[in-house]
Amino acid sequence: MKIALIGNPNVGKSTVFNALTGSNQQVGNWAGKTVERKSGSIHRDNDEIELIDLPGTYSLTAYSQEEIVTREYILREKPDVVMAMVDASNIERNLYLVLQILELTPRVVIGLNMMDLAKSAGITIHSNRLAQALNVPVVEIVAAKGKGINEFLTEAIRVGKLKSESVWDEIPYPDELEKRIQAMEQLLTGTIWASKYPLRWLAIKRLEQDPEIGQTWQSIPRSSQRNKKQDPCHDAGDPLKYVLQESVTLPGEELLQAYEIEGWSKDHFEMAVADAKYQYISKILPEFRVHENSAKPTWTDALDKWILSPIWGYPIMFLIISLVFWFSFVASAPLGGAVSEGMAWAAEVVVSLLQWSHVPEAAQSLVRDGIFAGVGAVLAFVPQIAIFFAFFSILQDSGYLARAAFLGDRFMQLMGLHGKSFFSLVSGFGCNVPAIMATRTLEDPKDRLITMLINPLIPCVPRLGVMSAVVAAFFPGSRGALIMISLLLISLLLVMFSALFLRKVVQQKERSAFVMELPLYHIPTLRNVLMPTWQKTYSFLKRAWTFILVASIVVWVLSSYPQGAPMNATWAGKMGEGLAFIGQPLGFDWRIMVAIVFGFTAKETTLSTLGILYGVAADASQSIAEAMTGAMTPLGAYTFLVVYMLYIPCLASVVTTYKESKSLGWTSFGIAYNLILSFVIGWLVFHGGKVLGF
Amino acid sequence: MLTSIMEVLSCKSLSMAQLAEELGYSVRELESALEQMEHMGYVRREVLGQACSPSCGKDPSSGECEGCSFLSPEGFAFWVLTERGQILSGQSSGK
Repeated sequence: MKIALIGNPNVGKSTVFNALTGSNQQVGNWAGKTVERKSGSIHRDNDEIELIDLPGTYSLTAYSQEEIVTREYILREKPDVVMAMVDASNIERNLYLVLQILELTPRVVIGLNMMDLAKSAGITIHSNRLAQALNVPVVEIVAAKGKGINEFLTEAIRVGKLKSESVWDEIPYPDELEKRIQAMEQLLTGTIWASKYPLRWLAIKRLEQDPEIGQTWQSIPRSSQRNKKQDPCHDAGDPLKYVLQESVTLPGEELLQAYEIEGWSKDHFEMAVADAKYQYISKILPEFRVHENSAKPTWTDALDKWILSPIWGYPIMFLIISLVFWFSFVASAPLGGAVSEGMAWAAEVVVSLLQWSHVPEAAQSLVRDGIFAGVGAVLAFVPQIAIFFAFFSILQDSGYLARAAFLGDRFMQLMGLHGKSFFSLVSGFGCNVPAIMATRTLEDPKDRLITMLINPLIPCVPRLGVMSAVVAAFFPGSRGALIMISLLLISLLLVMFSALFLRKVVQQKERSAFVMELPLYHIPTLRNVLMPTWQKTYSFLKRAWTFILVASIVVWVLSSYPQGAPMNATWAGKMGEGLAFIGQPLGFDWRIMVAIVFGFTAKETTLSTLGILYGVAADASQSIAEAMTGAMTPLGAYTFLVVYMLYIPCLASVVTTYKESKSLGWTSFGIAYNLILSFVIGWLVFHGGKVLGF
Repeated sequence: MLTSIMEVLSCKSLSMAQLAEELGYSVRELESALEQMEHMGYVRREVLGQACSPSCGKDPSSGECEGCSFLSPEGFAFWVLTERGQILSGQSSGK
C-alpha cells in the first residue's frame, strides 16, 4: 500500500514521518527542507506500507518546485490514501490545500495537529464536525508528543483498503465560472488527458492554463540518480526526479481565446477558483470552529474605533502630540536649568584650574569660550531631548505611532502623496538618513525620488532637539508646546505642497493603496521606554563629545582670530557679514547666518555655534537662552526656527540622497529646493508677522 | 473573498481590522487569504522604515540601527498589490 504524507510547511509532517518510519530526519524550519521525497517502509499487521513524505506546500498549483513535485506524485503515482496534516491553529490556510487534494483524490485522512496551540489562542476545533463537513476521517494528533500518530496511520490504512470511494460535496463555484468549467469539461471528455486526470480538475487547470498540464514526464530510478556509497549524507529517502519527455497543447485553445475576449484571462480563472475555495472554507468554518474571543471586541478594537476614526482620529492625534510636547517642556524645565548651572559651575572650576596652572590665555579661552560655550550649549538641552525621546518611545511601544502613521497617510492621500512614501517620512522624525535609505523598498523610481526629496522637510530628532531648545528660550511654558505644534504643521503643509509640486515635476503615477498591519495596543514596559531613550540620548551625547567638540573648536578659532579683533572683525564675523545680505530680509544678524552655515555639517552644531558667537561662556551666569533673547525678538526667533527646520538636514543626508538617487542633478535640485523654500517661507513668516503686529 | 480584497486594495488604504469589518471576515481569515494571494503572486507584504545607513550596525537585541546617530523608528508592515495584481484588478474593474 502506498500512502502519501502531505501538509503545509512546518505543520509537523516530518515529526509524524519520523515517528512512523523510525528514520532519523531532523525537524527544522528551513524553507524547502523536504524538497526531496522521503520514503520509509512500515510493517503493520500483514500490511507492507510505503510512506512518502512529500514536500511541505501551500497549494497544488504550479507556483514552486515543491508544489509541482507533490502534485506530480499524487497524479502519477496514485497513492492508495493521502494523510493530510492540518495545523489547527491556522486552519483556514491548511484547508485550502486539503480542498485541492480532495479535487484530485477523495481518499484522504486529515491529521489535526497543533490543537494545543489553537486552544491557547482561544480556538476550538470540533474534529467530528470537520469530518462531517468534508466527509473525510479526521484524527486529532499532537505530533510533538507522539499522541494520535498510530491512530492516524490506522485510519489511513482503513481508508486505503476501502473498496468504494467516499463522496464529498464539490466546491460550489459561481455560476459564471461554473458554466465555463462545464464547457471545458465537455471539450476534454473522451480525450486521452481525461483518462489521466480527474476531469473537473483537468478542466479547471486548462482554464488556468497551467503550464505543467500536457507535459509528459518520466521518473528516473533512484540508482541512476546518485551513488549511495559515495554520498555520506544519504538517508532513507530518494529524490523524486522526472525528465520531460514531451509537451503538447491540450484541446480548448479556441475556447480559451473566446474567454479571453470576454475578459476571463488565465489570472481571472486562477483567482476566481482560489476565491471560491476560500469562500467555501469561510462558509463551513463556523460548523466546526469556535473562536472564543472572536465575538468579543478587544481593547485594541474598542480604542481603534476612536483613534482610527476619520472624524475623531485627527483631534485625538493633535491632543496626544500636544501633550507630548507640553510634558517635554514642562517636565524638562527644572532639569535643563540644573544642567545649565552645572555647566557654568564646571566651566568656572576648570578655567580656575587652568589659571592656577598658568595655562596660556588662548587655551583658557578655547576651553571657556569654545568648548564649554559650544558643547555646553548643546548639553544643557539633553534633559529636554531625553524626555522627548522617552515620550516618543512610549508612543512607539504602546502601538500608537503606527496608528498616527496610518492616519497621516489617509490625510496625505488628499494631496496625492504615495501611501507607502509616508512611512519613510515618518522614519524621518527619527533620522533623515535611514529614512532616505528606507525609500529603497519603493519599487517605482519616481516614488523613490519624490520621497527622497521631500524627506528633509521632516524635522529629525536632532533638529527637534535644537528647535525645542530655542522654543524653550523664547516661548517658555505651555506657549512653547503650541509653537512647536505650529512648526510641525508648517512642515506637514510643506511636505504636502512639495509632494504635489514634485508629482508635476517628475510626473509620478497615481498612488497605490494598501492594507496595514497594526500592532495591538499595550502598556509600554519600562525597559522598552528606557532602553531606546538611553540609546538615543547616548548617541546624542556621543556626537556632542566628538563631532560637536571639533565643530566648536573650529568655530572658536574662526571667532577668535585675528587675535584681539572685535567679534564682527574675526574670520567668522567677516564670513557672517558676507552672508548678511541673505539674512537681512529675514531679520537675521551675521551670527545666525554663520550658525546656519555650520548647521550644514550637523544640525546640533547650530546650537553650539550660537553658544560661542553669543559669548555665553563669557558670562557664566547667562544661559544661551538669555543670551539669545537679548539679541533677537520672538518673531525673529520664530523665523529662525522655520528656516532652521526646513533647510538641508545635514551633510550626511545630502550624501545619502546622492548615493540613493545616483543623480548629481536631483541632489543639487534637492539642496536648492530646500534652501529656497526655507528662505521664502522664512521671509513670509517674518514679514507676515510684522504686518500682524508681532 | 480574494477578489473582494483585491478590489479594496486597488482603491483604498485600510487597517486589517477595518478591512475585516468592511468585508465581513475575521482578521485571521484575511491574513490567511492574503498569504495565499502573496503565494500566488498578486499581493506583496512590505515592511518599511527599518533601513539603516551603510555605516550603521544593527543592535542584536533590539534589531535597531546603531552608529548613525539616531535610531530609526519602528517598521510598518502592510500589504500591497503587485504589478500582476494591479493588472488583474484593473481588468476586473473594466470587465
